Amino acid sequence: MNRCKKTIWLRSVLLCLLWLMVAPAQAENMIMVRVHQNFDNTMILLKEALNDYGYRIAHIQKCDGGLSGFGYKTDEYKSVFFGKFQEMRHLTGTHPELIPYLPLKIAVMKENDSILLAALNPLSLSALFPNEDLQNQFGRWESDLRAIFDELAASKEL
Amino acid sequence: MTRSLLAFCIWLVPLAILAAPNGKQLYTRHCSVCHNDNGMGGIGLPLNGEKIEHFPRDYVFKTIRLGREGRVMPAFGKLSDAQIDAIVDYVFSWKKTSERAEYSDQKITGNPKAGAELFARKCAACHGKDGKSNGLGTGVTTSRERKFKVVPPALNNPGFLASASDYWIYDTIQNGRRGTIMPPQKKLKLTDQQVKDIVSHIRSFEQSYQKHEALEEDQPTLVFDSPYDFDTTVHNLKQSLKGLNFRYFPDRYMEMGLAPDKEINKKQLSLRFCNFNQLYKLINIDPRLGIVLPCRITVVEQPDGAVKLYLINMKMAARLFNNTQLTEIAEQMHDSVMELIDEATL
Repeated sequence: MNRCKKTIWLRSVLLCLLWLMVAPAQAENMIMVRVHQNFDNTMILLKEALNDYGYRIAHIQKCDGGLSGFGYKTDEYKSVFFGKFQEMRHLTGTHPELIPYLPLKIAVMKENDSILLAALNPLSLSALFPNEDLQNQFGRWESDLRAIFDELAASKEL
Repeated sequence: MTRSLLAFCIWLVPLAILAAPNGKQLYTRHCSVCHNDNGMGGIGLPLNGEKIEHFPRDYVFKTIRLGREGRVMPAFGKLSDAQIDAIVDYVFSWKKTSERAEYSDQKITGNPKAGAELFARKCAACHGKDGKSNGLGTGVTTSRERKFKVVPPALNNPGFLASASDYWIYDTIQNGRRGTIMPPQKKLKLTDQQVKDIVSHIRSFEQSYQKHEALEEDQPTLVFDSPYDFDTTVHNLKQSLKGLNFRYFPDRYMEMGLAPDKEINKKQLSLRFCNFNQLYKLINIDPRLGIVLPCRITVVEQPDGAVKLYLINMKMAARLFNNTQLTEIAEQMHDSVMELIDEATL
């Protein structure tokens, strides 16, 4: 490859990279998605997607059940706790300050004809826990959550 | 020649994408989760139909850029002007008329003192006596009981006041807002001068804003030492929870569900608790609150036998939601939980 070609190629790649960096420019405190499925199907798809990314559901908190039990009107609403056993054991040992934020959590709520999923953006924890060795971890969680949410948003009705 | 053209095209592809953002895609990515597909509204306000017919372009642009501090709508500071323009174009494509709503940037001169008195009588029932809205939460979520079909906007808000010109506010009071319960001037029985006085009063809210600064002592996690052993600490906490009218859920070890029972650490226990009355109020303010609930205190026995309690700093976590109403309740909750910890570790 001659020098001119190399330069053009390099510049093009750099420009594309720049675009890729700008396009997903988001670091909101929450990651959310709207899913056009019914509630039960959303829960099934969420479980499958979490498993595909190596996570396991630890527990499902039925917020709607608790509220209805106390006589409050509410639509379907669950909190899904999930994580990876070894990862969690390691983190609670090395960074006990993360304990209240684990296992990770996704709120699943019905809103009219669709379902909203919301999670705390792990990247928003970066500012709160600036330890260098945690940043990759937050980045991985964020990337997994976005991928899982994107999959659910694109899912076809079951 | 062909090579140069090819190189030029390679340069052009990303440039073209950067130069012409796709409003629909941007809306879907950044807005639809709250405002719903096609702007029907949800956690966020409805953006289609009559409601936005007279919205000036600049108002919507600034609203996206600046957000509404303390009112769920975030500031989209990282979107470029071209991207926001594309979103506004897309949202405005739902307008039924092609009429362009434009309002003067001139200041309106009125008597804010007289305006305050009128505001208390004519506006406060919906917009709140301090202008911070009487509706819990925002938007039109119908999944739960709502006092208002569309939650009245908080006028006493830096984002709103930076986005709305005096004449835009004046026009809204004069003509009301179709598709909402906001009545026109005639129904409110206001003179033109009185409308101007109210506008001046609303504008005067700006004088009270102070930049929020994080307190230095804010820590995302609160950690407390217990002078008792593991079991006694858990027992004490449950007693205190009962005393403070919290309901606690069955015990859960932190690692439970992630590995077979025999492998999990039984010296890390999460005590989950809730006050359903408060929970109901909180999720009416922001239904996404489930991402930090239920309240949890995790009791951990260290290898040396010492026992520590870990919990989220609720005051700090509440700020992630950009919702003043939520922050106020979180501060009360924080105080209750501190009382609980004091009792249990005394």
